Amino acid sequence: MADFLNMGGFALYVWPAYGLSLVSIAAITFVTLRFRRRAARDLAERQMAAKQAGRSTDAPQI
Amino acid sequence: MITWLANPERFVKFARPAAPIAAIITVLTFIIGIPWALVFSPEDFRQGASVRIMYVHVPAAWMAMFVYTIIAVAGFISFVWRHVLADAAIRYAAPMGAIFTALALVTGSLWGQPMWGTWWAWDARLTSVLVLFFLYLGLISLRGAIGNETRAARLVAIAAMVGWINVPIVKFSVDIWNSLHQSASVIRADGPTIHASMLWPLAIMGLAYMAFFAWAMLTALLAEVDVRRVKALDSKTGPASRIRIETNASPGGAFKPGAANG
Repeated sequence: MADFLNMGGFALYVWPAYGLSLVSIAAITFVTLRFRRRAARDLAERQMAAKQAGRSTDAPQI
Repeated sequence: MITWLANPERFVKFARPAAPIAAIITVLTFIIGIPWALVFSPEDFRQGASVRIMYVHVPAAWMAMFVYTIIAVAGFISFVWRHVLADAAIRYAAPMGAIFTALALVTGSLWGQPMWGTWWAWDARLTSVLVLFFLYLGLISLRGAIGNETRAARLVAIAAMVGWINVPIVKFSVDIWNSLHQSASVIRADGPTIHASMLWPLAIMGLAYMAFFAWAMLTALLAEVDVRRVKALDSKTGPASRIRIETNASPGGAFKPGAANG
């Protein structure tokens, strides 16, 4: 394990390279998922409001 | 196929199943690729374990060039047909491309210091990749600088196409000029010169990055379709007075994806 972490003496270069790559991919994933969720939620809110409004207008019009 | 997908309704039909497939490929290839890169692939006979940086450096550099190529194609489609999804594709791809390019530069630097004895050199490959990074930043800030959305889309599309000229310069810089950077060893006319024991994990990692980008793009564009639907609904009803939906919008009619184009 210590050998693995030591990376043949290149630990100082190999691990930051992998660490930064991981952080970047995690950051893109986080931002993308948050954007997707928020957009879906905003749309659902509108559709819900429209649906409710649609129901409430039905009765008087008839 | 790209212009076919520019129709939001068809795009959603394609992207809804495609995004999770890309996500599954991403996870699987990383699960296989990372241990292969860090443990099972051999050390280089001259570079030792520092060669393991290659498995994150090279895919990031591939993506730096690939994402800009996607952006240039999207720029062409946005310019000629004015498809809103093509413009959105540039908007979401540019920050990701910038991140991949920054990763290529930084991981390259971390590899260069122990192997070349320097973090940075102003040679053709390194400098042209730095230019690529600034082109991404330019695309991002150009859009922010122009208030009019249609005008911004036109100018960004032009910049996206013109800037692509740098991609072949990056690719062939190591063959044309003397460079600290090694010449192409994977994608070259006479086939890869890198040994299979390193080529395989590298290819898997490359596939992982590619699938990851595909997932992120599809997911962002699916969200974009929703955002445009919300905008279309709000422009009909006004965000604060949703009650007006009662009188103006037929329920159902406003929710077609095509409404985003209206």
